[in-house]
Amino acid sequence: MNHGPLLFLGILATLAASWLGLVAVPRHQLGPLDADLSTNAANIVVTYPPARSGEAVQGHELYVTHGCVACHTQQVRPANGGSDLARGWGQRRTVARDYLRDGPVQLGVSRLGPDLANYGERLGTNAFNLVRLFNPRLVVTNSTCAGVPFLFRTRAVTGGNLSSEALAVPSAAGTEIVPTTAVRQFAAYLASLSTSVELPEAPLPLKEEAK
Amino acid sequence: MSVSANTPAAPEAHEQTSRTPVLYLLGSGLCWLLVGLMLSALASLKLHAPECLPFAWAGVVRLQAAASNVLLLGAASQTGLGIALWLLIHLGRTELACWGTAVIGTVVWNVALTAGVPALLLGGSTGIPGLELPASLAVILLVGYLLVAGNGIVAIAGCRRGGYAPSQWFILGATLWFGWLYTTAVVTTVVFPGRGVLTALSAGWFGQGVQWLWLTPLALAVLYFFIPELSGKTIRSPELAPVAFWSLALFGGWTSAAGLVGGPIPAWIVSVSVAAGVLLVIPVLLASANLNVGGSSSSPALKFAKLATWSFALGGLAYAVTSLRCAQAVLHFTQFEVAIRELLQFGFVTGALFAGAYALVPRLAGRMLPNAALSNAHFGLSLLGLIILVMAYAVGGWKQGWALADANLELVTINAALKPWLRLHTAGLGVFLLGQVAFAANVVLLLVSFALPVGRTLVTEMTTGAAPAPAAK
Repeated sequence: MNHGPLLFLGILATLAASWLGLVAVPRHQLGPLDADLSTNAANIVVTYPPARSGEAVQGHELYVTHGCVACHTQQVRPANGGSDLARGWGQRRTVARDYLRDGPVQLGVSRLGPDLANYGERLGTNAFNLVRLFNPRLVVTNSTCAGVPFLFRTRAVTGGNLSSEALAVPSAAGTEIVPTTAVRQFAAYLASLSTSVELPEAPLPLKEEAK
Repeated sequence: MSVSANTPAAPEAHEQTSRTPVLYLLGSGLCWLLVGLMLSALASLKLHAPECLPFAWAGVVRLQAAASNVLLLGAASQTGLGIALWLLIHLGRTELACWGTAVIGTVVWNVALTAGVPALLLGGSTGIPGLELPASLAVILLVGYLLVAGNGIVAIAGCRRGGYAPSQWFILGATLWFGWLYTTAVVTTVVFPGRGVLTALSAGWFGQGVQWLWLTPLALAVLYFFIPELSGKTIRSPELAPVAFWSLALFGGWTSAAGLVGGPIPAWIVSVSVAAGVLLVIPVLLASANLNVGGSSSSPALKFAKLATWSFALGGLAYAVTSLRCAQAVLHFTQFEVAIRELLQFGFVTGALFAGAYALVPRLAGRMLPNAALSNAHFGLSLLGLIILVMAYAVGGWKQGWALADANLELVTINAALKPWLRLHTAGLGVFLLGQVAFAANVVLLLVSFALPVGRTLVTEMTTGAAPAPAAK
């Protein structure tokens, strides 16, 4: 340990090896992966993963900037890796191909909230979802989700009646709470979250009737 | 060197060059520690009180991102590098040839971080965990880092002692690794992002690398020097130190996918990461055995060094065991993982750096920290806060993990049971922060003790100059 150059080379070699193994090789392996034709649950051939609408792409940016990743993951582990499938968070495990359209990908590290990889499949009506985004506690009592109330606007009611876009939530007399464009984009992104498509590397489980 | 004496040992002449840059790095590291802990406490509060501060800037992720960037890239990195510079000067019997560049580097570094905090709070994050700083600021920060770390590399190259001490290996490794890690990670995630999960893999490589190849070797370098120096005992089985160093170098860079077990990445990457995570038990146990010299201690420096050694042994062991797939199936995505991370961050890294700071500040400033009670309060509150915050997440997270594994339990029920533990964590973080405030108060007193005589002389000169003392009758 008394030779500076040897010490330097050892330090260089150890990090270079891990870079090669865990940054360069995965790029080589996963880089060529592309969206391709797959068969969905109803045996219809589709491009997977589907391109998101412009609205949903902007919604993804809001998902990132408002940090849903603090409490929500977007990954379904295989049956032997946790209770994800048993909880109905997805029909199959998620694989690298599911995320080709996401940038930056929001896999998440915490499950203070439910997994959202297939949230679009579990969503209710649009109005219901907007209320959930405004104040999650109006939908799920004791929810610890902060929601995005700052993406809604409070305005004076014109003409005595609430406008058609007003949220069905309590508000001060003579005012109504309406969603902004941003929150509509947010909802569009959440509605686009779905992975229930058969892939060669991740088959869907056999249907109940086929057993 | 004796720290229990009332007057600190005078620094040797060649160490004088390190005085300004090291004290500046330590001071700005302390400021970032206070800012980072405040942001951390707010983020912790938001997890169980979602309705407080209903603003976009106070979103949990924004607070967490700002806190972690400030704590890692500001507090730990600057303090660690500051102590490292002094160690290199002292061990190599050399001087900082152009210490001005280290000061300029720290200024540049602080500019990037000062702009980074509002940028992150206002939504400028890249959205990549661990690399949230906007690319432009990351580049500025890197320039600042290179200016400071370059001084260290030059000092190692100019070492005037035959052979290198363990602290020098760890510092050389850490400074080179961090530069490469940060550059590569910024390039492969922000500048030329790979598609989909590739970004997450690169970010994982950086995040784990920062823990095991930057903060860990820096903290170990401090402990390997100051524990023998302060306790007067040599490290145990010194022949094991090179094994600890090389095993850390070998396995530390291979744990990228530790946070992605069961995730959407090729299975071999997870297997490699799990294996490396378990093998990290080797450097953890060897270094802990080296540093556990025993004996009782009354000086705050040694008390912090002991806290750091035990936190490293415990946290490293817990990290290795929970790397196993069977543990991950239950504990992944829970607060238990956060508990291990915080034990390593607040117990091991912060503890080691305070051990160094308590030994160094009197030596460089030329006088002792004025208030011994504040020093004791600092250690006592830090220890108490650490125990509360780690236990809260360890116990709460353990229960949360087993509850999550039972698919019949609703998430709302699980979170209701977790809530008291989240509250306890915020309280623990508050106590820990209070301890650091006690230290900051002591530093302020030290600064006042410098400023007072100067001020008094100035006042006397001004009064005597303006109005000559009346002649005695």
